[in-house]
Amino acid sequence: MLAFCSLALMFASTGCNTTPQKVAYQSAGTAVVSVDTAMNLWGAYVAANHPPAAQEQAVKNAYEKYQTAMALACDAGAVYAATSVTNSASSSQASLALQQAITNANAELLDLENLLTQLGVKL
Amino acid sequence: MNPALLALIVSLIEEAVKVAPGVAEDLKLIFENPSPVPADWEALRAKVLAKSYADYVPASALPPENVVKLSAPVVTPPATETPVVAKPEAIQTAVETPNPQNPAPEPSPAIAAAAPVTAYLPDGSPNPAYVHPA
Repeated sequence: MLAFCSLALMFASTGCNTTPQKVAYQSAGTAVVSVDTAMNLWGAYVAANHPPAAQEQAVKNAYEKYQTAMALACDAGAVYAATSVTNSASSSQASLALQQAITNANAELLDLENLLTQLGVKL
Repeated sequence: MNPALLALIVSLIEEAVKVAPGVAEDLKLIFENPSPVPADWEALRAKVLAKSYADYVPASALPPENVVKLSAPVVTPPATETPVVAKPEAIQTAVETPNPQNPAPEPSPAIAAAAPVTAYLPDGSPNPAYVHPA
């Protein structure tokens, strides 16, 4: 039920009165929440199963790559939010940069969550 | 957005709301924001960077990263280039050791005549050739 509500909320937000920036912000915010959950599940998995250090290192690397990518996306979002009021050429460039940064961050998120799934975490 | 990623995110959100009810409130705030301003993005960025791997995994077997070093760092002076100098002993030896194959030449008579006349001979007796200066 909650999954349905979340999906409905996400799709509803892409309506005609929704700016690209708002969609990007919602996407980023949702990703942040889901990574937080995934990492908490990984912490519980480590406490219960004590996986090899190499596996932990792989997850740590993936998490830090995601953090970097998402921080860059937030930087791009702040730039776009600051320039969007001018509706100038720099605003459209900032919009493209934000979309690209969100795509990169989502790719890192997917890598992290695929890795956790492969290692046996039930997401 | 990739459908697989979307499905994964939705399942994670569902799990998050079960574990931490505050997550639903966070999401509500995100989705109800009519127009994010730079401060909203900066707050999200701070949230992303707020937790390190060690915060999520307290039972981690990985070594901690932020260890405070109690000892002062070892300061090594910068390397200086030592000039290459010929050994003085070698030079001295070359000067002092006579080469039997190539003996030192005898001073010419002119040089010998120009040599200063001392008041006493090497055996200590007065030198008859010595003339006291006026």
